[in-house]
Amino acid sequence: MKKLLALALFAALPATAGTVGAPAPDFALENAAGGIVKLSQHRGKYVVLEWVNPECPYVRKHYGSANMQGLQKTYTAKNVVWLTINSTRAGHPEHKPAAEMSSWMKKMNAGASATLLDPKGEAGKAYGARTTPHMYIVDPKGTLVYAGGIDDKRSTDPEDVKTAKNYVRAAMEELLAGKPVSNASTAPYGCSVKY
Amino acid sequence: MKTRYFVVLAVVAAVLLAGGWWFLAERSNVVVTDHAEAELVAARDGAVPDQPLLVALRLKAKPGWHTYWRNPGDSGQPTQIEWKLPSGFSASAIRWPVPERLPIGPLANYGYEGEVLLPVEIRVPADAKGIATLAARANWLICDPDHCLPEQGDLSLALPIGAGGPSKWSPKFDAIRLPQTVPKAWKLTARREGDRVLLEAEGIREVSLLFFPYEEGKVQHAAPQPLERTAKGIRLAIPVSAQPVGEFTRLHGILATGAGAAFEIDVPVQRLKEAS
Repeated sequence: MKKLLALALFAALPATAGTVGAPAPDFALENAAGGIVKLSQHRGKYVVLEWVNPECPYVRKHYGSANMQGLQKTYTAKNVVWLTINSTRAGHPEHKPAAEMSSWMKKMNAGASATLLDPKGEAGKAYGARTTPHMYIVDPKGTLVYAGGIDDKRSTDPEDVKTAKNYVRAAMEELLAGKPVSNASTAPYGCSVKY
Repeated sequence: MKTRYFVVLAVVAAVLLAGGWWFLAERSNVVVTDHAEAELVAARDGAVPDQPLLVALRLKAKPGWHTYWRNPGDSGQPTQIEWKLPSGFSASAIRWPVPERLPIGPLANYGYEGEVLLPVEIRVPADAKGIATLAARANWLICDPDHCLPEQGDLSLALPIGAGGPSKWSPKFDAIRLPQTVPKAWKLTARREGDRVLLEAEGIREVSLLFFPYEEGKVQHAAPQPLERTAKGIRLAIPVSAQPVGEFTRLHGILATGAGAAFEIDVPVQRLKEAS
């Protein structure tokens, strides 16, 4: 049995990464606009975490259709913090330094509270982020209350946004109404996070 | 000149004798995209009325690129085929060949590098005649470790109705690795123990096994699955996903052996208190 446990330690991502109901791992990441953002500084508010990679066709689907920006604006207007995180490793062909990430988000007319850089993938791995996009919601007490996909239509076709069930919207509406999240853990879809 | 005349005559005669197969043999278009080529191919060069016909989407990814299995693993998307068939014809779902586990950093994809044939069974109606044109739009996501792109192709395959024989693709159909039925001698049980599911198999002496789940949100796709020998067989420890989707009630998927065989399993997962 010990042998099995020892082998299990080699699991590629932490075995407890990003499990709904568990405390959301804290992080301190570089803000593309300058400075450092910690998750814990937003205790007391709902925080949405969005894993992003501007070069990924699934990310482009949700930005090209303005779906992601719509969610960002809707919920930041309701006192929710929205952190967009890029965990593409430094040196990867799709890596974007701070200035490029900022200008891309600006060009997209994004409404995130901050765009964060995680070139070492530490935050991404702590949350078990596998895809772009991969979405999480942290409640005001710092507990993870949603982990999974943005919606239920796995495709790169922007048209599908119109007919998809948006899990993040559904979860936020339930949370803001004081209800538990019906679909708290769903399958994320997209490109792999480029660790 | 005379020799050439005879050659032409001989060819014409052969064509006539062969019932026109030489002219009518399967015709298909090959779609070449930036990272793959795609084509519809049939196991036989004729479609027999009222008999099932094996047809496949042949997808050949450029070196270093891969396409996806029904469960793509940590990211990606299964290849899709939308059929446009003549009246009375119908197509089964894809009979997914055994995938490979493709590591991508700390993540893993389940899919196919290089060439894969994704077979379906086409139902040919009893009154089919002439030439049947099977058309499809295929959509696939193709990735290398650094990039992912959606690609698609409009494909068609024209097949004469009639007996025909094994096509030039027939050996490739024979080589498709489909999961087999579990041998009767194997006794499989599974139980949940903490953050792992333990699959115990009596009657197995494999030294290497890998379980591929049909569903996402069940196992950690990239994690090692340590194998232990037991008195009567083996025990495979399968780490459960940290972000489970739905209840993990069945171990449903493919068990691939190091020796190249693969079996479809569907084993209920018992929830017991911490054993050991």
